[in-house]
Amino acid sequence: METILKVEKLSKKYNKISEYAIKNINFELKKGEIIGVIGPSGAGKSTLLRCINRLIDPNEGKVYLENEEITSVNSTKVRNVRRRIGMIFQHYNLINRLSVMQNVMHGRLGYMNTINSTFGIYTEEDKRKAVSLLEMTGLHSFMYNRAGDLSGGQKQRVGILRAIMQEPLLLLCDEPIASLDPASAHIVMDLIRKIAKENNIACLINLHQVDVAIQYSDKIIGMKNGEIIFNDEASKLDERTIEEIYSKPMRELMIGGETYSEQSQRG
Amino acid sequence: MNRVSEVRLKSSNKKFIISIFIFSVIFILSTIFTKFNPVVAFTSQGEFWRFIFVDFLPPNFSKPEQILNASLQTFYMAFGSTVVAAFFALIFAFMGTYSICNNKILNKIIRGIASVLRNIPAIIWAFVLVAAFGIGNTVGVLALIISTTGFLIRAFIETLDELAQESIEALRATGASTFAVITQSAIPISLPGFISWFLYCIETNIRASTILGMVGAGGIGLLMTGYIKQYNYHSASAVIITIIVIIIAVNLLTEYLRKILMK
Repeated sequence: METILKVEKLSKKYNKISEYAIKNINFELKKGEIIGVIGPSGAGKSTLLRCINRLIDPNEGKVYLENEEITSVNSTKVRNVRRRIGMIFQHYNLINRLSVMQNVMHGRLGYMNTINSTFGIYTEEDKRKAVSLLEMTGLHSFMYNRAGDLSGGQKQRVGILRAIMQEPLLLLCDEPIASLDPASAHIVMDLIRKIAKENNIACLINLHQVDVAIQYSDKIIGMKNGEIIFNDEASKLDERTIEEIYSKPMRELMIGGETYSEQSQRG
Repeated sequence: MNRVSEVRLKSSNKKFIISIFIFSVIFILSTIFTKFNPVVAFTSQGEFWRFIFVDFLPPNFSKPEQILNASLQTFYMAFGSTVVAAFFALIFAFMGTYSICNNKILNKIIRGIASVLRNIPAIIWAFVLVAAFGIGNTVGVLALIISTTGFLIRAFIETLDELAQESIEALRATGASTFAVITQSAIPISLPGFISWFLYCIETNIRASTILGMVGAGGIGLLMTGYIKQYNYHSASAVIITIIVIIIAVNLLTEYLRKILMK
């Protein structure tokens, strides 16, 4: 299958004296493929995601989106790169005081000219598309509610729709379920997987929960101290590797509020 | 004898004792150099109350149109200057926050200018401007614009940094232009904060513009100073009562506006 994203020797240091936040990262992501990125806090997962869409500029290495090198493009062209990459955040990052509909429409801003995007003048076609996406996710009845009035799970679904409105090639999800209860978390992960598979969108998802990562990803990347120490099929991730990634024995690894062994016992 | 040493709550009280000592020394030196005697404030009460009740009261409202005119001037000065200041402050605040304008040098320059403007009180600006342009309302308005712009730049930057970082990042990630990021996320998120600071500045500028009048910058302060200089204390007290009423009224009004606008 076609490679969408290729990351080569990517490194980032926040300042001269600090350690590398990410160091010599190499991997590829194919069309429609879902990769879960796991690792302890501070392993560099968020930095990796933000170096791909240039919210953070990496120090070394290259990122290719559809074979186009994007780490060196200038600041005006970087907008053309970003609009092809959707992003989903842990804290949803919606504009709480605007309506659900307005928030979803924000996904189109990167494709519009300065006047229209500044004043929020969208085409009827785009608006209809947003409405049908809202209908699909059952958020239709909230479309004129303030985004701030929604529950966490609903907010994250609006966040996903905003990203989908970009018609992205690639979806970057930064801890999408870290602030959600287990039930909402599954709804959100199901939606991400469904959309990715139906539209052939490649996904890179940072996750804290190893079990969720295994359940929803095709491949897993395990990060530790800014480096990739595991990159393979989700089914090949064994307990020993998980223990190595988190530098902790399995029974001490808390996953979603309970230990991993408790969860596997439950089924 | 079985003496148990006391368990102390802190490792040492040294800092506290030294602070008290330095504080007392500065206070004593201050009173010596200013020849301020706290006792006088109590012993000369008779003189003070005589002045209030005989020279000042009752107020003389014989020229209501003059007082009304001056009060309106003061209100216009405060309101007009705050609006202009808010407009400039908004533009500069976006240039001063890293999440919108990622040029750390420009951010620092803007913040530096803002802190110079706001740390020099409006009355000093008015004093300098009166010397340059002469007495009048324009000078008062200019002085208020300068100091308020400085204050609001700082307040707006802090509001943006506190509230809007995450949503700005989200819109940047969609590929939106900087203008779109400002109008679609930074402003909607920060608007209640902006309005609250704006109303606060209206309040302080009403108060400031009464004082500005005293250095010749027009409005009700100028009228009051005029009466005092003519020893027309009864008319001056009428002006002072008007000022108090205006300040209370504006505070009540802004409080009410805050309640309905912040929903």
